[in-house]
Amino acid sequence: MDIGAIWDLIILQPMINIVISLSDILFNSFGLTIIAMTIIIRGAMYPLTRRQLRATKAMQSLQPKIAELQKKHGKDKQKLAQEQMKLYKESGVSPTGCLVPMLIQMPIWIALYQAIIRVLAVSPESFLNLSRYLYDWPIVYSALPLNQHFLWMNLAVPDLFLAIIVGATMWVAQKMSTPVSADPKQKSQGQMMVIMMPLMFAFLSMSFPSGLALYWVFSNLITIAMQYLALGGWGGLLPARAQKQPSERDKKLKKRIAEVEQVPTVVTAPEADISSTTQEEGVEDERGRDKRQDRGGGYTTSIRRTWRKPRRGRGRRSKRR
Amino acid sequence: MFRYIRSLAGKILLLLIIIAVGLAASGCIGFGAQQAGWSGVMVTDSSLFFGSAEGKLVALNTENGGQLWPPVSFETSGSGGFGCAAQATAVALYGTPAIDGDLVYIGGFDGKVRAITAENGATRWVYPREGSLHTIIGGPVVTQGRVYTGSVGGIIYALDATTGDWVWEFETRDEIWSTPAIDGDTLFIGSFNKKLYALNIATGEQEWQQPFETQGPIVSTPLVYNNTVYVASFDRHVYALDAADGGKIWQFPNEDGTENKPEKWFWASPVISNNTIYAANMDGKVYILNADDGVFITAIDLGSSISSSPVVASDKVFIATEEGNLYYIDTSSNQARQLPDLGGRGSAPFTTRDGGVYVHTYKEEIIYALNAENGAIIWNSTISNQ
Repeated sequence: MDIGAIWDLIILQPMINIVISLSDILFNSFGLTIIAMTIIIRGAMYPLTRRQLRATKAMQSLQPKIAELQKKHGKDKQKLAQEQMKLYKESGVSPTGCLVPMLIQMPIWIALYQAIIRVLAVSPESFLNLSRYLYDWPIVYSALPLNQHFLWMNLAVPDLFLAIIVGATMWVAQKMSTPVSADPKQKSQGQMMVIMMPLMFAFLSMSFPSGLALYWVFSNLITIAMQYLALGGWGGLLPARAQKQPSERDKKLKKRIAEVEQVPTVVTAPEADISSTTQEEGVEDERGRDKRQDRGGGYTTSIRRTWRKPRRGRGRRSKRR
Repeated sequence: MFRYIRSLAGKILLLLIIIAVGLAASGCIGFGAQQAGWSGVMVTDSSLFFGSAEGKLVALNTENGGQLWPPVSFETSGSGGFGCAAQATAVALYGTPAIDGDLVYIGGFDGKVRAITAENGATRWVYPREGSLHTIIGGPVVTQGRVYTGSVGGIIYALDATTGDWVWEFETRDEIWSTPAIDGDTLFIGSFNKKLYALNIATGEQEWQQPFETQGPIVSTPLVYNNTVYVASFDRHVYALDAADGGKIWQFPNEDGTENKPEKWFWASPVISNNTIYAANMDGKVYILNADDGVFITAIDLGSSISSSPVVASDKVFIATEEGNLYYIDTSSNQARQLPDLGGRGSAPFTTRDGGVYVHTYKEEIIYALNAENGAIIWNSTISNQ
């Protein structure tokens, strides 16, 4: 028995018969069957997915340290590799930690994908081929052919709208799981994957039966939900503000603030107010500067107060420039 | 700067590779799922016609398999998918052509019915003249100046055989892959909605109060004999019905029958000889039943799946498995005899005429003309050479 026959017997054939039987239970709706199967399989694979996500999170948390190592040993590649391995070992993180659970899950995903394609059977040849996989279960024989219409879609033909959703959901999932690397090369590769994978899958969705696209959409949505829970947020999609490096604009602004603080302050308010204000300014300014490291644009509190316009009328609020 | 250019070139290269892989996977450059077709052979006194896997109507003479006229190509311009240029693709032809007078009729996967002049291969008419119907898988049947065919859109069409004008249509609301059978003024056809319909060929109105319902789709052509309709279904049953009202006479296996139960679909049409029904199943067995009461006589295991409809000639049932193993069953003894294997796979129905049995194999496309008396090959013709 060759490997293809073993694959069919152990994995693909059970999957096809379960899909058909489930469809009979779910009101002969193949769309609902695809969604249910995706949820069931992703649920069953959750322990593996959790390991994968934990490894992803650990890798993300190590990125600042890796960046430091790259800064330190950037020119000595061998040393850098050694230090990185040492860091992984000390942190208890395996660089292949994300990969192994994913590889174990791959056969199941492929089997589900193949089952969907085979059960859709758009041509007489594929329908003839489907008969080879059927068990001797009455439910299987009464369920076929499956109802290929779901919502606005014919699941046997491509659907443009669903293809766009495939691309969008995959982009979100990819963006969440891609670590923000300090290494420009790795960063560039990561960014490329984030863009190319959704584009490729969206393109494939435009050419394959939309039943497959429906599976991809729900698989992506489950991935997003799992990643959200495991990463404790949106991961690489919305990185924490504290992790953000100060921009060039921020650096210039800090410099400008420092310059402003050197020159005498121009005020228009009464002197009594000035003294009280300037006494506080030192504290306020430091506080403001601390906050400003993580924010872009705007002026610090001290500058805004300095440029406050005189009141024009009673009860009118001052305008900020 | 140089590094930047090199990095950019690398990215562009990667982008091109990914697009190429995507195109290959999506079928733009020929790796997508293809339909080939398995048309049966229509035989007249001196010529035979069939649809080839390359989407061509081929005409051969029955004497030696020589070509009568250059094959007529049917092509359709596929959209090519998003971002792909439209390209002409061969139309898959599954149904056996029908012939009436000087015209050969054939339906294609592109949803068109064509009438071709038998003498020279010239196209007489195409229906519809603009656009197309849903995909056509079953073959057409022609009688009394009209052509009848079903479509995947679930509609049975009656067309004028001379002009191709629409006469009537009947909607079953589910796919039709079956070739109709006509007996007298009644047309019988099965649908994916698990029902068998009986329609008046003049008006298209139902002749039975309600269609006969099975538990599975019907893709085989019903057999009509002695006012009885024999139909085999995907529900693994063979039914005998009264042709007049659709009432069930018997079914095999019966309601509580658990022995000799077929394991897979009935794709092939049943045939009858000496008041005995021969029904080939995809489990590789031919179930032999008494035509009067459906009592099981015996089953012959041919070893692999059977989807090709057999034919009866000279008291023998000629049959082939999908693997291309060729047999005949002697109807007097119900014993099978294996003949030399066919060169290709077998899903097309057999045809017989004037002591000859004809079959068209696919993958390796060959037409065989066999002697109905002993199964010996009279001639064979490889289609790729046509």
